[in-house]
Amino acid sequence: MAISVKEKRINDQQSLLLEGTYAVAYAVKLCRVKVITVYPITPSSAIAERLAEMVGDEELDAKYIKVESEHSAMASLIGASHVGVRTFTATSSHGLAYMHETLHWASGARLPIVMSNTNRSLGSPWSILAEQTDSLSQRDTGWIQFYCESNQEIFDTIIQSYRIAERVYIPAMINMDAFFSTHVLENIVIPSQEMVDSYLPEFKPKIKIDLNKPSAFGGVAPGDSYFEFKYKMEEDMLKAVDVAVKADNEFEEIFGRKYGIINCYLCEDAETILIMTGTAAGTGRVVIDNMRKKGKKVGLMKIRLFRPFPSRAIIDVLKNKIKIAVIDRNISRGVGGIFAQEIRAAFHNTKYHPPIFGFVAGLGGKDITPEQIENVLNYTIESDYPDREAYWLDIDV
Amino acid sequence: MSNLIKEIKNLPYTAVSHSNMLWNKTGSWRHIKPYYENKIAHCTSRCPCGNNIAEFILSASQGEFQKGYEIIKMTSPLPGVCGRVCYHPCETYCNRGEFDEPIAIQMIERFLADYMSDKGRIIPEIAERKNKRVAVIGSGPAGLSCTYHLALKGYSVILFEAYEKPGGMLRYGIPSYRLPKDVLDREIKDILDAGIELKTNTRLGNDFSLDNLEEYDAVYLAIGSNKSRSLGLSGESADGVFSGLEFLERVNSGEMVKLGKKVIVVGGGNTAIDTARCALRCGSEVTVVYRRSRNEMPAWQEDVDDALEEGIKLVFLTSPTEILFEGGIFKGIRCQKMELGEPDQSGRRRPIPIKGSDFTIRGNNIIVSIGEEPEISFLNESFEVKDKKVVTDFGGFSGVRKVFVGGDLVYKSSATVASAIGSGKSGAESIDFFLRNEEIKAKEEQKITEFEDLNIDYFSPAGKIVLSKSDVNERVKDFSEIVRGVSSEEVIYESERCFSCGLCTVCDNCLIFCPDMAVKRKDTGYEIDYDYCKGCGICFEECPRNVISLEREIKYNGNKRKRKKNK
Ligand SMILES: Cc1cc2nc3c(=O)[nH]c(=O)nc-3n(C[C@H](O)[C@H](O)[C@H](O)COP(=O)(O)OP(=O)(O)OC[C@H]3O[C@@H](n4cnc5c(N)ncnc54)[C@H](O)[C@@H]3O)c2cc1C
Ligand code: SF4
Ligand code: SF4
Ligand code: SF4
Repeated sequence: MAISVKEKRINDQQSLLLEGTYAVAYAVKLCRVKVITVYPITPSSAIAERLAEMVGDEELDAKYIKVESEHSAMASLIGASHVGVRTFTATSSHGLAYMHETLHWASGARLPIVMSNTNRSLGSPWSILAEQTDSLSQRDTGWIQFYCESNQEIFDTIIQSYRIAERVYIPAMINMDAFFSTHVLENIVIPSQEMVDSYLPEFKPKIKIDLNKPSAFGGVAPGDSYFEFKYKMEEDMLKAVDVAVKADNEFEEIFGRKYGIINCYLCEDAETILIMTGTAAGTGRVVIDNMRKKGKKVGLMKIRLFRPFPSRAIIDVLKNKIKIAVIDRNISRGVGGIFAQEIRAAFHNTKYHPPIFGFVAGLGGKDITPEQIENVLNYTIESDYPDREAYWLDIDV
Repeated sequence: MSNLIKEIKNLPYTAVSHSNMLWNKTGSWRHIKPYYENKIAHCTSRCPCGNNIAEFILSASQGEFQKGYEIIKMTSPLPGVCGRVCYHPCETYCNRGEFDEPIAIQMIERFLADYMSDKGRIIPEIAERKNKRVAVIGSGPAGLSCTYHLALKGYSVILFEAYEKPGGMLRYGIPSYRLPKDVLDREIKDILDAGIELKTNTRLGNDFSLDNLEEYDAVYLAIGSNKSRSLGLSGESADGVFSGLEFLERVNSGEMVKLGKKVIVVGGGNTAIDTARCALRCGSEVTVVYRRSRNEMPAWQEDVDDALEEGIKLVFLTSPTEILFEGGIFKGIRCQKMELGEPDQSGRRRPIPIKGSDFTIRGNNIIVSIGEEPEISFLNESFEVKDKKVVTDFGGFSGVRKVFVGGDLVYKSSATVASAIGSGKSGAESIDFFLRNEEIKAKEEQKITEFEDLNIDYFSPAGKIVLSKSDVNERVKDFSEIVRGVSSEEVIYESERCFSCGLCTVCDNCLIFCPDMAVKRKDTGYEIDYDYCKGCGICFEECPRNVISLEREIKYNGNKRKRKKNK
């Protein structure tokens, strides 16, 4: 990523060696979040711990509510957000699954809550390692979803998410890989409070609880209005793609960093494109470099924004490619990897129909190795068409 | 389509309504019904005096010591006494004991009494004077308590006492290192000041008989259990042989009884331990001989520990068989070793002599403290007597016209100060019913809040205050009080630890948690608005102290009937 930090700002910034969890906590603090609820869960617990310290030490002026479940964590934030303050919670895996019902409510009530989710496998069998099925199975709950690669990206995406969420009144979920992100140290540029304040002014929602104007929220929506509310929300959700692009550009102006809703590496002249998400995308780039050296015309696309799905941006890049391979660290049982399915669906009503090879890898925190990735690309290049929805790495390929 | 879009434009982004939901009477959904109901704390349920412990502690926690004292005075006239010598069953049953450590209830009670000691007399309001007179015989805790409660109810009371001063065992039995006489005097004075006529040196059976009491509308007999049992061995009248109560009475009257160097005390109860400790304070070396083992000792364990610490020797599984004396002067005892057999009626293991195990303990004095029994030879056969005690009904009625009985004299009484006070109180209540020609009613069963009923999520661990005693080497030199008092700060700290079981502290939790805002605060506590309470039971769950109860809602089946009719 091209980083062009402006001279003046270098002085205001700080550099800290942080694990992904702490990166989240520092970002939340700079966003001046007012209410935090947490029910700790591995591997996201350190986020809650660091934030508790910050609140305890009065570094962060917020209410920190210890709740008895993730369901309550989200329910409490729904209440807090209605009051018109910035809110945050962190969870993972089973915790997120337990929140499911309240996720729908939060988005339906149009509350710009921001939450970090650590992508961790769901039992049974038990595993606490990386996998994205937890958040992807919440894709229909009406939340904006980001998938991050590096700790800096996680940090920056938290800040961007408040801006996006508060513009469209839709909650946002920032996803990061269990352990690969949460427990790995990375040098993080921490901007000054002033910089974050200028990017993220105080949250002033148009509609909120006002004691002088008693109102009921989320009551029965009679007649057609339920349908209309949903239409309105979908409109705003679709708008969120452009809002996210804009937020990213504005972010660059102040902070000098930009990620894109998708990120393309050597895609321009590539014939075969590999699509990846999360930390594994970093490994993917190394493989692309190696294969380029061997003369293979390959490129990598990382998808960062998953909801709303940036179909147009993706098609624009992929439309003239010969073949596409998607590696999914997740699975929708019966159809294969979820990103692969979404990309296939995005192509369906276009005139372009490159073969899309789906590969399932790294479930339960299994490593996605450079050898596997190279195998994926070679298999894709060598085969005419995929003969199944998904190939399981090291078993099928 | 275009119409719809116009509407959507006007629609706010979230569903918000400025009208209210009062039309939606969610009360109709209810099938369980919460209701507000203060209950009896576990501690209170075990206080023989019936002290409202949770309430007086709540006042103490707010620094309202006088109010706390007044609350105790509603039930007991002797908080300074109980604050020292009660065996505090309340603490044994304190719910906090299951959480970390029980509340130092007794010390709080003592503090409140002592705090008020120089603040003038405070007694609850006295009811309108009634034109009835009651004779109370015996001024021990039972007689004093009955007198007090009768006086509060407006009766004229005359109190007869065989001894020179009132107080019974509180004065002549319990030594002042456990209950200073000024504390006792102060509390007795407060009782008598309610216009009580006290006749001391007047013994029923000697100076008057029950028949002489015709002029009184009722009689309360509380003469205790004041005759020391004897060993039944020859030589018990030798010089140097005392009975426990006789010895204690002399010591408690201020006499430094002359004892020899070595004193033997026989017995394992409170009298034996107090006797031994008094003898020690009179300057002797003391050995207590008891026929069973420490486990079976009826004496209060803490007092036994204190005695051991003070240097008293305990010899267990040993029973005297013969008193040795020369020229009418006590010289020692022959003893037999015992072993424990099967449990007896009292549930304690029976001591069985071991053949050929005889041995001698030499000493200058022996004090026989193997128990007490009432002296009731003057009672006629109309009284039902069992185990030398008088049988009564639950209200203390003896079955003999207008005679009520209380305290240690009652068959199966538990022989403690607090139970004597409690029996005095219930005796007064029974007499009140009787004099109003009403049936004597048993107390209604009240709901008790036990540990399982609490929501302990609301409480965090905090240790009990440290109670201290005077230095062992110093305290054996005289009869001054051993257990030290505590400061008001300590009392507030300790009182704040109390969960207030079953007692609403107006914490507003129920009101805050009710999702239907159906809990309303009233002057008298809280009220639930059943138009909206949908019976979720959250108030019940979230009340830390079990003040909200739940009951099944009575099903309304009016509609059902109507429907049938229509067919
Ligand atoms: C040494 C000792 C230590 C004790 N320590 C404790 C303790 O620490 N804690 C505890 O809870 N309990 C203790 N007890 C037990 C407790 O003292 C008694 O259970 C309690 O005093 C009984 O109260 P009462 O009013 O029934 O009788 P008493 O206290 O015995 O009072 C009876 C009164 O009646 C008077 N009387 C007797 N006969 C007549 C008569 N014929 N006419 C007129 N008046 C008469 C007596 O003089 C006396 O004043 C102890 C007992 C003893 C002996
Ligand atoms: S009288 Fe005894 S049981 Fe009652 S409160 Fe006082 S110490 Fe506790
Ligand atoms: S915690 Fe307080 S109210 Fe509850 S049992 Fe103990 S002393 Fe009584
Ligand atoms: S929750 Fe608090 S206010 Fe409500 S009944 Fe219980 S003690 Fe009283």
